[in-house]
Amino acid sequence: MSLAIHALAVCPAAQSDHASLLGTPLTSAYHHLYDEAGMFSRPATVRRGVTRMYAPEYRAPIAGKDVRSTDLASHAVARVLDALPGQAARVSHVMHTQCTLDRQILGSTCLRIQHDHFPNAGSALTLGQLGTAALPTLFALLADHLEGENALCSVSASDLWMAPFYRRIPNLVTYADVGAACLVSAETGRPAIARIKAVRTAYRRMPAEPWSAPSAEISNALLDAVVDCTGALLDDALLAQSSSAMDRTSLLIAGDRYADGFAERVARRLGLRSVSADPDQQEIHLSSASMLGSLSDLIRHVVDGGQDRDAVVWTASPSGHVGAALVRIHADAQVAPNGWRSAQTQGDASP
Amino acid sequence: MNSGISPPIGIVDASYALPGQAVDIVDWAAEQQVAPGLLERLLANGCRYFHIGTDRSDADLIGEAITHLRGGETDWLADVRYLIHAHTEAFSMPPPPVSVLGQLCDRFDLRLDLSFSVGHVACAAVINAVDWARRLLDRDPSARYALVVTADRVFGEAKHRIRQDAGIQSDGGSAILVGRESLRARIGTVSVKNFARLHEGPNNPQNVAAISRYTWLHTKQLFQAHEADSGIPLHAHGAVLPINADREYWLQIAKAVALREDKLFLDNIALRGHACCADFAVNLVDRGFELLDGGDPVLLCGQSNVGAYAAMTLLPDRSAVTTLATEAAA
Repeated sequence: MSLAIHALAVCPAAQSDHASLLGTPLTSAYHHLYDEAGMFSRPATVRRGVTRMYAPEYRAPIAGKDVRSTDLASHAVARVLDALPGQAARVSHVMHTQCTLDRQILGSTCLRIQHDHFPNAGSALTLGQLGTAALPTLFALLADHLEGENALCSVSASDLWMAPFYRRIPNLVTYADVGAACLVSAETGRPAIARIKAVRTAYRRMPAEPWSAPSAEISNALLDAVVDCTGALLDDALLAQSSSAMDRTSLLIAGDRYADGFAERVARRLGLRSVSADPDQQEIHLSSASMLGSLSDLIRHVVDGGQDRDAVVWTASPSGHVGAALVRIHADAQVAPNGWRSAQTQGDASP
Repeated sequence: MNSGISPPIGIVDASYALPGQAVDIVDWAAEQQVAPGLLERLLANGCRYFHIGTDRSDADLIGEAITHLRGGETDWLADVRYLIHAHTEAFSMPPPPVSVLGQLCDRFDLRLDLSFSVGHVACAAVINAVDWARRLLDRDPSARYALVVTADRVFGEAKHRIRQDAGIQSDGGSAILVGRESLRARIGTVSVKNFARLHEGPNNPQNVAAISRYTWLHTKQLFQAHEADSGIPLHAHGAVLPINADREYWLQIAKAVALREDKLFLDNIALRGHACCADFAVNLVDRGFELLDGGDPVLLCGQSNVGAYAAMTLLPDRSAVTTLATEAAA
């Protein structure tokens, strides 16, 4: 497997104070969830009419009430295209993921992205139902989709948490409203900021309602799932390569921002060196965009170090879905608005 | 646009779950105080019976469909490597980050290599999902089965169940088992086309007007492209199985592509209602399998109100003849 990432943008909403466990109250979609049929689509712990559940005030990237999840995604894609101008016409596939609802419930995010940016794209899909951890699956499908094609794919992820869904599960996770995007190809000979060499996904049974279960129970189960999945990824990769091709002791690792130093615990269990996010944001989960946020952190670290490095990036969700990727990070990645672009002359027609 | 006859990968079985007894739209419209004029137009457009299952979850509907597959046997579930879910209704999902895929893994103790859900392409999602199942099996000779499942539930009463004046929405789930042995149909040409300008869906009168102006044209274009790619003239199919709504619209399209009206399978508009992505399995089970068994190809199509369209040719399984001969000899 070889997927080249040519540019990346991570665009969290502006920081905002919030004093509710639930997402932002947005009445336009809310009432549907309180129809009789809605009992299976909303948390059973949130009674009809409740749009806030008290939480001590916290600060997180939270979108304003006039912003939609599709706006977050389309904006992030626009930033990536700013970073590599002239590439939009080459994009033949649009793949997007989100686990939250858009408040305009009749619309389509993947088709919005196609419409806004990629008139030549032949396919557009939104992947879902993998909690916030769909990107490893998306990359696995994409490797299959792009093989042998001289094509670019737009990959994006966005979530915007509205009531009655839980934005915060105390001592486990606080979800941010974020859009992120990258441009990907299966081409090996072109400049890239990172190359995905292997992906592994797994599922582990979790408590049915994460907001009702003890957070330690979920956290411990997630930790085991991430360690097992990442360990298996590395074992496979080591088997597939000569031992000199990848030195496990020099591997970097980064992953989702769960509470209580979760990412550090994963790194310790695996004996790998953790690359941390901005200290102020270490416990704010970037939702479906999380894997791209972790990748951006890794690129920053590698660019600062000045040498290409192999790294593991993982993501996991209380849905039980986890995934990890082995990625070669290139030290010549260049800073771009909200992210990174491959080393080349700006405006170069080929990524 | 994906095209080309695939290797012998196809549909092993399909099933659906339309909950409860069929509801008669005449009785229901009276209870729901639907305007008499609207009811008349719905009846004139062929609508009559549909299904309500507001007491069931998406996993319940899918679970019921799965238990109908393969004569109720469940041994085959151990050989499912890929699970692909498709849905039209945005709300037909558990509260995030909970996943219907996880719920199904737990319920049926599935051991999968990969699972995901196809969304945001409305009723074209199910054909995309079956095509992904085919591709994944094609790449993985060690995998025996991929399972495609769908669930769609309507939220809200009359206003949301009635599609303009030409369709009535059912709640429903379905399951489609994709494999390479004991096939009831081979998967032939698949065409997927998006007209992304309609991405907002019917959220305001301008977009509703644009959808009604363009969808028949887009579907006609899709049919013409599909016919060219597959090499099978539309009239050579045993039937075209559309979604179970919008009778006049399908008749217009048939006229535009010179297809005899009786080649369109429209019976289920009256008998089942439109259960979004489940219509694929509903029509395959109710009509398609019989035609395929008789040696005729069938064309299934999923169109949408967000600009996503898809068509899939299913071919009779030539190997079925050999299998039957072998069984007879044994």
